[in-house]
Order: sequence, then structure tokens, then C-alpha cells
Amino acid sequence: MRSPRTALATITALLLLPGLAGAQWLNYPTPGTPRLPDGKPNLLAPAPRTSDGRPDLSGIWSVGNLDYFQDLAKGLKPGDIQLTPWAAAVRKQRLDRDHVDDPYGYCLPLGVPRIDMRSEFKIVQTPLLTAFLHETYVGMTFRQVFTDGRPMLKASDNEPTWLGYSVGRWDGDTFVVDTTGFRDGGWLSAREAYPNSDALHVIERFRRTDFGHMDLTVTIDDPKAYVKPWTNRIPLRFQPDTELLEAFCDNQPALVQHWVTEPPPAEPPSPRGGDR
Amino acid sequence: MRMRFAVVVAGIGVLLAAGAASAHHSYSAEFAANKPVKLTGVVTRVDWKNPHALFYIDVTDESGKVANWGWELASPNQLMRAGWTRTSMKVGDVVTVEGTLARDGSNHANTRAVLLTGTGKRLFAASSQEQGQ
Repeated sequence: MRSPRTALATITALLLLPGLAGAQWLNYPTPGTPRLPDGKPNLLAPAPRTSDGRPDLSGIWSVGNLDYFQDLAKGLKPGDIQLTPWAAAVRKQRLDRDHVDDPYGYCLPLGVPRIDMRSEFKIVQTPLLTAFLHETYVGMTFRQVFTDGRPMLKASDNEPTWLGYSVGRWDGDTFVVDTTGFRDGGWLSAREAYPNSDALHVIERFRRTDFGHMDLTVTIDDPKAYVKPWTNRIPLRFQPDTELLEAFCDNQPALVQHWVTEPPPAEPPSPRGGDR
Repeated sequence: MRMRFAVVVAGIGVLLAAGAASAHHSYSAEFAANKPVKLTGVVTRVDWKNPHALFYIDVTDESGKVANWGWELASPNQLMRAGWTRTSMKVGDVVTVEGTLARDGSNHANTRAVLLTGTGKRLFAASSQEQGQ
């Protein structure tokens, strides 16, 4: 049974809704969201837990800015990120060509972890599988993170992919996602154009600190592209009372017809060997 | 309707604050950042599609000749989250648009600001330009 206060808060929230863009369920109150007396979400309430006692990461999340999309190394010190000669050459070419070869501009998927940094995504957490549903602006994209005990794939035995192969585990209250099996020559950052090789191993550590906030700590372990692994921490914010929107690239032909580019010189592949 | 306008106008701040939120990476392949353009015309079509919405206006020059221009916006999702709806700009509305010309020399531009001429309302300031892109 709901308390009168909860009911009042819900009604207040509903009264605030009319007049906003009513498309899809963009402003529908998210069930299960703790609320303040004025009906606003209480983002400082404790993080919810699942029936098995784990933190429940479910919900829509977003960085809320493009800082880490542009530069995954934002805030790190010089020297924290050291590119190999191959990665430095690839990055220089991308910058010299003013980013026109970024696959995202061609409506191709953002890789991992860049896809976490761009737009809203929904986490759907179940005991054996956690799904990441990404809105993006170039097509809705999902990731599957398996928590059923299966081992990580040996990436060199499997087809490299945009999003890799992910398995998850719990380290206390932190959800740790290991991903390997990426395509060579991905983009980790937009403006800074940091590349990754097919040896990339991404470790994402999600820790929900309260209802409205989650720390995402990302480690880039890619010995072909970086002299040593590097790590950055990105704050995520819960997005209450909204919903994912459909986004497929149905307008791309109307845009591409105006592009003026020189054919891209092929980026050199990463050095062979050393695959994981 | 008044409330809807208020929301859209409030959304301007959101989009300006987001700045590059409407970004896409083909920007420098498509637009000449050093070629600004400002035109007034009548909306003939609005394509509410990804990765960037487009709208078209008929522009009449001093000799009476009419040319149709395409204007690129942010993604519909970004516009919607800023309070924009598919009816915020309608076919037949007279608008003054500022932006950046396409590099291919066609009647195509990136949108920086839109003014609804009839009401003086500035609808939004969505741009597909991303600083440094």
C-alpha cells in the first residue's frame, strides 16, 4: 500500500507533466523512484537493491555532458596516457583530416566505452544477464553482459566486433564488466581521436553510490596502442521520468550528398601478434 | 500553446548550454565554418529524422525568384529532450535562419539560430556543429 505522502508526491509529479513534449513516454514518471514531498525524484536516496542483495543498477543513465565522449582521458595528467608509435600515427592522421573518418559520422556504432559517454542508456539487470540499451543518434544499440559464469572468450579465436564480448561479475557492490574481441582501429574518443587496437581489453566498473549517481571507472588495457593501461573515472547520473527514444539513421542520405572529402588514406592496422 | 512555446524557449538555454550536444562528426566534411549565412523564408517541409533533422524553406530574392534551402538541425531526440515537438515549426511558418553554408555550394546549411518571424520567438538554437569536430 502506498502512503498518502507517496500518493501525493505521485499526483504532484503528474500535475507537473502537461505541456511538455508529450512524445512517446518522454515525461512519464519512472516507477520505483523515491520522491521528495514536492514530487521531485529524490536522487540522494539510497541505491536500491535486488532481491538477492546486489545493488540494482537498472534504469536510464547518462554522463550529461560530452566531456568524456570528446576526451576519455579528460582530467588525467600528461604521462598517464602514452601512445605507441602505431597509435600516435593513427591519431595524427585522424586529427589532420579533422575527424571526417570517424565511423560515427557514417552512422556506424560507437565502440566501447565511447558508447557510454554519448547519450542516454538503460541498464536492465537480471541475475544471469545485464543488458545495456543505448539510444545513440545513429541507431539503437544493445550490449549483453553475461553473468552466468561463462568464461571470457579468447578474442583471437572469434570475429572482432564493434562492441566486443562482455562478461560481468560482482566485486562487493561494484559491477565489473570485462570486454574483449574488438575490431582493430576503433575510436575511444571523438575530438581527441584516441585509437584502439584489436588487443583492447576494456574494464568497466559500475558502482551506484546512491539512487541518482553512479561512478563508472574505465580502464583501457591495450598494449598495442598504449604503453601502459590507463584509467579514468566518469560520473553517471540517473535520468528519472524519461524514456529512451527511437533513433535510426533514416536521414543519412540527405546529409551525405553534401559531403566534400578526399578519399581517406587507409589507417595502418595495428602490429600483428599480441592478440588476446 | 503558450506553454509549449515557453518550454521550447527554455530549451534554448539547454541546447546552448549543451553546446556541442547536437554534434556529429561529419561536420567539417559537410560545412564551411567560415561561410555564415542568414536567410528568411517560408517553411516547406520538416524531416524529423536521425541523425539530424532537416527543414526546408522557400526563399524569394529581390527579382521574385524562389529557391528552396535545406537546413540541418540536431537529432530529433536532442530537440525533443529540449522541449521541441514536431509541431514547433510547421509548414507555412515564416522563419529567419542563421547558420553555416555547406561546402558543396548547394542550397544547404547548418542551423545555428531560428527566429519565427511572425511572433518574434526564437525557436531554438540547435546546431550540428561540434567544437573541434
